[in-house]
Amino acid sequence: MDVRDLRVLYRESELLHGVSYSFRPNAVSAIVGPTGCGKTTLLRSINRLHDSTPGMRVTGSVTIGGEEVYGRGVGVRGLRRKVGMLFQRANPFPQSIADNVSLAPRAHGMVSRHQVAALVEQHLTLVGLWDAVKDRLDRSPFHLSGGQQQLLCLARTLALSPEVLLLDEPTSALDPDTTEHIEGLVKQLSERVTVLIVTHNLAQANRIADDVLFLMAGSVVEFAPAQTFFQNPADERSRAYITGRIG
Amino acid sequence: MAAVSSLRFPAPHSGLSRFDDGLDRAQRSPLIRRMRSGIFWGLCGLALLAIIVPLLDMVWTLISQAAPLLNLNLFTHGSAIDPAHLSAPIGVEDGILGSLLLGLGVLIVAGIIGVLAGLYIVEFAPPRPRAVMRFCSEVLSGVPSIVIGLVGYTVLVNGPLQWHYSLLAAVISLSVITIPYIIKNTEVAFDQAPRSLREGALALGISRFTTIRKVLLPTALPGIVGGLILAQAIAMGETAPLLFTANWTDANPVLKLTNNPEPYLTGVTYNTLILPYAQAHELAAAAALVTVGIILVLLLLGRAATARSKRMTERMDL
Ligand SMILES: Nc1ncnc2c1ncn2[C@@H]1O[C@H](COP(=O)(O)OP(=O)(O)O)[C@@H](O)[C@H]1O
Ligand SMILES: [Mg+2]
Repeated sequence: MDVRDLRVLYRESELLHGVSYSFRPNAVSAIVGPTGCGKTTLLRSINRLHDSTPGMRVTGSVTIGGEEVYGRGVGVRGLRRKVGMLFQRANPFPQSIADNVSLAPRAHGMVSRHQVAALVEQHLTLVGLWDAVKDRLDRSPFHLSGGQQQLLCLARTLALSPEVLLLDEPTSALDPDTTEHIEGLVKQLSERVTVLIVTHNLAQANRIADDVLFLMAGSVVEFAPAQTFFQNPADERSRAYITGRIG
Repeated sequence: MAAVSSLRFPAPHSGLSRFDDGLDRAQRSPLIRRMRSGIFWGLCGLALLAIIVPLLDMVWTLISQAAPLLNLNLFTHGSAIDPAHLSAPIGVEDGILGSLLLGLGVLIVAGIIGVLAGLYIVEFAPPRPRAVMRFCSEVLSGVPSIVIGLVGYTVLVNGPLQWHYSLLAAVISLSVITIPYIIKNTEVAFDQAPRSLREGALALGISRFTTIRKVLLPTALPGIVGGLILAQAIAMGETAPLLFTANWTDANPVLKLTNNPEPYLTGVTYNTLILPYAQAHELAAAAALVTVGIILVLLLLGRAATARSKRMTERMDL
């Protein structure tokens, strides 16, 4: 997956100043950097979520498997089926737990009616939520804990069998146990899926990332394998960030 | 050592807190605090009474005035009063059937137009048309209903369309009155759906219509139904525009859209109150009581209709 000279403008101001890098497929890449440096903005350019924000403009190129995301005639909905996203705060739909998982696959015509139950069980099991919710599949998701709601959202995203997974600080509001659980899942998923995870938490990046992209003020400071980044960063600002002197 | 500590900390029995700067001591005096909270709860109680007492008083007045007529005849007999047979059973069957028919008409006409217009304004319209539509809707909601009745009369009843006094003219006039309320409620209902829900649906590549139907509607439904019920309550309660468009009759309604005067509950009250018979006055009260009763039933139906989406959204951060 390649990003070339990606610029994002909101009205007059440029939020990302020409970002270029290549993500390794089936690896976990962490995007780190101080608050407001453009991590979320970068993530949202990849599934074209900026399209629906008036005043937001994106230039440059993003290719996934050689295909241009911003190309002419690209179906945005098809793109988003292949590029899943998990938000900072869990946002389950006001539908039953089962419908939360099956809504998108049904909307994309990926399952027939009699496959729905199996699909729901499969993905709730995948995220480790099945035992906790199997007796209340038809109930509201808002009675689940925050961590369980986030897992439900992950199951909902995975039910579309995405090729790329965009995670925007998915554990920043969660307890350590759920965080660890999600980190394990992400690691496991990266065998089949290309994962981009935005995180504030350098320890988390260190635990799960294969590569690290360090952003500051809308520009890439360093993009390196995680080990190199944490042990021997090339840029002085990276060193300062890792040791807590900036950010 | 003892001397030092007594310098630093005032003795406990001095009655002064270490944090007391003396500025708000008056507010924290127990007596004033108790009085304040007493006044506050007293005002809350008064406000509650100001709502409940008139309601109970109204219902009680209507019940006591309508008492002689409160039996099943009320639902099975018409409101025609024969001065020669004042003891004959009378009721408001015609008014009930007529008002329900008007309500159904408004639900269909104003409900469909109002909900779709509200949905269009809030989810689809470009900024300029949206502003224009909102403005028109607001202006419309400010027009007195009797003016709308008059326009209905000059256009539908006795104008280009020549429908004469009729169900259709009445339904359309009531719809014009109620559509702005339905639009407003629909708009607000969709507007308050959290942004995170829309983004979640967008990020899954779910189409706009599916998003509206499956993701936003559960949070919006109570508001939409609220608007429809408000419209029904208005349809049940309006009288002025109906005088010009439905006229009135004490015969049961027939399923004829034009050229046929329409009965309705408030018409019963309006037309019998002026008659010089005790029975007529009882009938006026009974019709008013049934009007209030129908509105109450509508509110309960609205609750039932939104129960599922309320269940699915409770504890959700909106
Ligand atoms: N929808 C938006 N409208 C205007 N400015 C935005 C919007 N989204 C983000 N920004 C700006 O872009 C910059 C980067 O934001 P973001 O990508 O959210 O940072 P973070 O690295 O904390 O995720 C911030 O200065 C923010 O104010
Ligand atoms: Mg962010």
